Amino acid sequence: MDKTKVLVVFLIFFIPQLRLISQGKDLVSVSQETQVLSKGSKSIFKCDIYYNKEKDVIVTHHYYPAEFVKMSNRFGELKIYFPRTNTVTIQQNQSLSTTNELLYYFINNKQSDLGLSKEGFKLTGSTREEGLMVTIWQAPVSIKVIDHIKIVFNDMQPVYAEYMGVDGTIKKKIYYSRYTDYKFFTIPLRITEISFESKSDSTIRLSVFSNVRTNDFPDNNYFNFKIPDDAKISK
Amino acid sequence: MKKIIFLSLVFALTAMFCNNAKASGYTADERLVDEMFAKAPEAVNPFLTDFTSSAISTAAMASGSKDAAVALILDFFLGGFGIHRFYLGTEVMTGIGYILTCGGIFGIVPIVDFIELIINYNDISRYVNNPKFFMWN
Repeated sequence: MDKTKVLVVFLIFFIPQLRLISQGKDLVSVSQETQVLSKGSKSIFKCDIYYNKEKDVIVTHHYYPAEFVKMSNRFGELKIYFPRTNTVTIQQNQSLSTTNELLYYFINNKQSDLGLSKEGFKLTGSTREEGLMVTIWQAPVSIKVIDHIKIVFNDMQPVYAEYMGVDGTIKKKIYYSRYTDYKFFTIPLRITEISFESKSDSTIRLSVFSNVRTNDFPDNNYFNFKIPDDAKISK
Repeated sequence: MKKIIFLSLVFALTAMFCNNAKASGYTADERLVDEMFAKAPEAVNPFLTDFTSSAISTAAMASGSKDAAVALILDFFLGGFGIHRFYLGTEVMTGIGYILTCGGIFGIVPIVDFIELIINYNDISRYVNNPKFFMWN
């Protein structure tokens, strides 16, 4: 067998395999359930998130308590489609880019600053406490309410974030836990956020991620979701 | 009375939870958080009960009236970007303000907006076309 034939056989059999491997890496889906505890009662929200890493497109199918589909891309184009009324809302702003979403940072292994440097925060200090790395990020002048943010890392993964107000009170605490490895990335399966609205009042938001998939998607997935052509645009 | 006792319990548990978090370093007491959520009743408001049966009226949208349920959902999931404020109608700078403050003062403003929308679910007219950054003021 000459070299050309070997090459052709290689291309026929090997390239599709590469494609499959690549697909497994580039497509990620996650189920999310979020509960919010406020004023003595809780609200529950459920959705499935479909992230195409290659295109930086995130499609989120919200199905409880109401159904709608949110689509966003790296250019900040955001579309929200309501199937019940066949209406779509469209917004465009770079801040709405998928590159600003939390999942983006974890799946792309960019969790070192959780996007703070992009927002103008500056690393002003880092110390070690009981094996943990504690970093302090000074807020830019434009953010008048927050003085700094403390982010604590364990094995390079953020486990805690604390937002300190200029008045010296903590405005928000976030706990990242149950880190799980998925071959190409590591994500926390549980995020607990406590926002302090006043001295006596707070809101707790608990997000639990499950069913993380990097391949083996069913045919009826949302990666290729298309808004119907006859959907009405609402402002 | 029942509600007052429950609220007190939630606040007490929140305080305990925060203290525990501090004492144990930087980890949350997950068992306690789970317990708090397990004990809390699910919010009974039109947002949770009626939304799936009440279609968002396209005609209503066209006429300029706004649906509180849509505003709540947008606030919850995209509140950090002020999308619910764009939906309700506001000055462009207000929406930009949400973005510049990393989600309306780091997500606090959308939470207050969310609570305000739930409380005033039946009449959100004061939030429609409201140019103020803090729409509840």
